[in-house]
Amino acid sequence: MKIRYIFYSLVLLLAVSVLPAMAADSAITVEGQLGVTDVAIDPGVFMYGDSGTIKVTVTNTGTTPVAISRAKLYSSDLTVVGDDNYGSVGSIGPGNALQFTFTVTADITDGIYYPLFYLDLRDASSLRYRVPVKVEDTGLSVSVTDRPDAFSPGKKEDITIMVGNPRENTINGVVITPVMNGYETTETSHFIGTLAPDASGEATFAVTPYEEVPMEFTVHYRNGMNDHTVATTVPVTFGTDRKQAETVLNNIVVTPEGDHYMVTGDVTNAGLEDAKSVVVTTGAPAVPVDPYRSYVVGALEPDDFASFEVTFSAAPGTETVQLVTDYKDKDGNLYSSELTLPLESAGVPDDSPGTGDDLPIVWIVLGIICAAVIGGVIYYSWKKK
Amino acid sequence: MSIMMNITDLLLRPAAFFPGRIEGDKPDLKMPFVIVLLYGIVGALSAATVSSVTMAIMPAEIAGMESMMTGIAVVFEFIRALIFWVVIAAIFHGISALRGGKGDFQRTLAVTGYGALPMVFGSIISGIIIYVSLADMTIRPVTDPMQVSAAVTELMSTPSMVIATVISFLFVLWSANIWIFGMQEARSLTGKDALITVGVPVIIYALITFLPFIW
Repeated sequence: MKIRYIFYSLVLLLAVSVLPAMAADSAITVEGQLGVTDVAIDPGVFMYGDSGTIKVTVTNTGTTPVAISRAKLYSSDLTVVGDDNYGSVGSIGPGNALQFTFTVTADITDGIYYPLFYLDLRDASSLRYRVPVKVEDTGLSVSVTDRPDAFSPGKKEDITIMVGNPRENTINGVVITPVMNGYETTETSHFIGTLAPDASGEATFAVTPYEEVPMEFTVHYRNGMNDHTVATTVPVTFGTDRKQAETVLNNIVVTPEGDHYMVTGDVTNAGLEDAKSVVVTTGAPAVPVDPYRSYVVGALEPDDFASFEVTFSAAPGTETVQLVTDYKDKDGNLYSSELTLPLESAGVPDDSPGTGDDLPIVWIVLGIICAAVIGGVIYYSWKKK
Repeated sequence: MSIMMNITDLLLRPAAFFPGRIEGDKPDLKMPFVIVLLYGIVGALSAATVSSVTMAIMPAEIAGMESMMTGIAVVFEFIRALIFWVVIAAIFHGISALRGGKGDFQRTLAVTGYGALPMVFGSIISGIIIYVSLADMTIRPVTDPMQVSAAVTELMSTPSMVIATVISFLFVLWSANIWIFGMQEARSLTGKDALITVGVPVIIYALITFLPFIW
């Protein structure tokens, strides 16, 4: 009896030690047929809050079909959505591949995370694979690469905005849109499209500011299927453009001509940009008259000059008149400058037709001398009679 | 030398100049004509100067005719000297006739021509005064053509212009002195009659010249 117990015990011990070993040999055989041959993550790098897909491709490299019970993606960091779709997969034939797609959402801080792909096989074995997923919240870089030194109300200026992609993955659908806050542009938006990693794109906007409020530009882009926005502002301060054209009048001569005056002189462009449609005329209280009510000089390049002549009339007693110079820039913005001309130089100080004739002492002395000489001559002639 | 002596006699000793030069009914008029011609040339130059300055006053439509207006002024002044010669001679001749004067009109014409020599000097001096004075002035154009006359009158009423007129009249007196001696010789007048013959027109001329300044 004792021997019989010993025999049962040995058989049980053998069974405990041998059966698991046989089962293990069977699992190695099935798993060896399956392998993860491809993993595709879209987007390549997640931003915070992005949703994307992880596609795992499993290939049966064996000669017999492998039955699969279910496929799951486990992650304690990323939110996996829709992994119940693979609750009953079926089997993979020899040489065939199956692709498992999982939707994940990266509601987590920057880092590299490793969700687990788990393939449960029907023969009690399984396939496990860690999928590395990167999360980085760095957005596109937006900068203003060109802008005027100073803005003028109503003057059109060019602003160039550059968008750069500092991320590891490609960004799609990049669009720069101006926000109409106190300015207007002729372009409603500028499409840049795809930006590869470390690539950049530029867009130039012709803007016309009307208020001293910062101009705002918004950049829309997509990381995978997720829309993102980044904005930049351009401060607007009205002032004088240091490069703008500047007309200077000199060599001015005012000449009375009958009932009007003629002003001749030179107008010089002392600025750094072209002055277009330069027109010289007179302002109040002068009244422009023919033949040169206004003189159209035309375009003046920097450091260029041209002569002009204008005619005007002024009421008696007028002491000064305004000489007005108008010109436009290349965008048609009108500029005007005035120069005060004293009319004393033209000889019109008051209402009398002639002035400057004070009591002429020299002529009085000359008259006395003449009177004395003539008196003496007459006296002499009568004395010598 | 002889001419210089003659001129000196004419200016300083007219009583000694005329006897012997106005012989017969038809005395030589070349020298009197030259003197009047000289007077006309000086007057024309003076008129051209004054005209060029006073044109600045004129309205635009008249100012454009500056050269033509100056030309007219020069010609008029030149002709005026010749007419003045004949008219003054006629006046002297007429008044002297009333005072019993005898002699041909050509004799009176010669005396009047000779006597105009001091007026040449007067015209030169007054012309210089007018030119210098106007050159120092600033001239304002007149917008209303109706005001041109008033503006020119005002321009000519300045102290310098008055003195020029006075000096010019002093030389007329000098000429009148020569005319008195000449008329005695030409028309056989007494000193008193010659004084009346010349004095009356000169006084009238003085009134015409100076009354506008007084009023």
